[in-house]
Amino acid sequence: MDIRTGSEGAGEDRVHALIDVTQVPLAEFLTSEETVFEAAVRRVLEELDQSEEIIAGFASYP
Amino acid sequence: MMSVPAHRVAPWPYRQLDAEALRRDGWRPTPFRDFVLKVHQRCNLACDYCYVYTMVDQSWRDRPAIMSPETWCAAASRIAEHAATHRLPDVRVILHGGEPLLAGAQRLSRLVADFRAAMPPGCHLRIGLQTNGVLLNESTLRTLHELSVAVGVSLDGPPEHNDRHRRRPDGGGSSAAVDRALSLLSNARYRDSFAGLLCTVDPTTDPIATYEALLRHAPPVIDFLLPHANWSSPPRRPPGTETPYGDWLIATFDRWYEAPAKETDIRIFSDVINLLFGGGSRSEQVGMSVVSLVVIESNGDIEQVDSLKSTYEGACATGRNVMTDPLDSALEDPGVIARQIGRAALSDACLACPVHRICGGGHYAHRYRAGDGFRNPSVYCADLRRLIDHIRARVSDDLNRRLAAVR
Repeated sequence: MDIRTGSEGAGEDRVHALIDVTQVPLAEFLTSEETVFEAAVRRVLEELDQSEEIIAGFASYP
Repeated sequence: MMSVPAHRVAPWPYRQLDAEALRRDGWRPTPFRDFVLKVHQRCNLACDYCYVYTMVDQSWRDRPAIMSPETWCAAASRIAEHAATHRLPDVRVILHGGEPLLAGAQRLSRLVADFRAAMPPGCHLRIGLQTNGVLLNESTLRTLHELSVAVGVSLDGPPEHNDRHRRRPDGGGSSAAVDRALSLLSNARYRDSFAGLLCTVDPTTDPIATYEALLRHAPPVIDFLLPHANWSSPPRRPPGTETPYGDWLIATFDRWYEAPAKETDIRIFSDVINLLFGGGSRSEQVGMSVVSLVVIESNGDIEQVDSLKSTYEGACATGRNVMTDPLDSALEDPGVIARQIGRAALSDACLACPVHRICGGGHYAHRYRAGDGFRNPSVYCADLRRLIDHIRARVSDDLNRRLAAVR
């Protein structure tokens, strides 16, 4: 789905479930609020800067 | 009890995974980073869904009740060797069981000291402990706090929910004792020791009441876990819906997501959102991140993640022990490899699904089918699909609304 227009891309037919944020100015959504959405945006931006591989660890620990 | 050979009960991965072909294609194992230490093999509760005591694997009966100093020193030495070999900047040891607090605070203090002394220079050791909370009094918590041990507690919601399943051996509920423990952990003095809450989903309970009961303790993070089940031992499903677990999680998600400010982190929901945005997952429940976790049992056996005890007798075994084998040898086990190869571990049905990059096939243990193995969709496939579709729709709507607002 093109998040800018809300329309499905040609032939996409939900083949890809990802939300395409490559053209979205995510940093502009950050304010002093800490909603779940903003925390999610911060995490995406932090991971873009992170060089370490993301691994799945034991539950309940950061 | 003699185990059936793994290749017969789980042809995938034990007969069908071609590790050599993976290596020729460039795949290399990821070193372990999390080490679950079974410091005590017994428990003071009798939770009716426990994968250690109530399911097909009963290996706890043949193991020492408590881990000896000799065994934990061997484990520490092996972890240090592994960290040095791979130049790991940090590792994490999780004290586990059974119920780790049955080992006593003094014993745990000696163990932690030995582990910290064993680590190579440049490798930071973090230590956690996962407890049912019943034995967590102020004296023990003070000791753990002084040792910089992060404490995670299991709780399934308000007393009327929690005490359905998490009971003492005499049938009494555990809520009152856990509530006392959590009051201590919520105290400002010990707050930084509080790692979070672990809650097993029961779709017959009220999801909002469950979430709000957990929230009352101000946990930094909540893990909602689907009860361990598989195609050969399916989960309980109340009538009236095909996706009771998905429905329950959706109700909880909406309550959490719609709060004016983020109240706590819920790992499975945060991971799904991050995966939808193209990022990675930090738990095994969703996504295809490499699982870099290994278990060391009370007798030193090196084992796979022990949720596999819910599948078949001996499912966790690697045939290796810290007394005789380096941890690197366990990286060659097909069961360990299977949890490090991402898409290559998924069934054709999963690969054809539009949400497989988010779902990741769900938890590995939930894919098991006797005689077939682990290359199947999750037994919770429909629930996960419903949950992911719902989160995608909610977050997409939110994103579109915010985009319109900044234009």
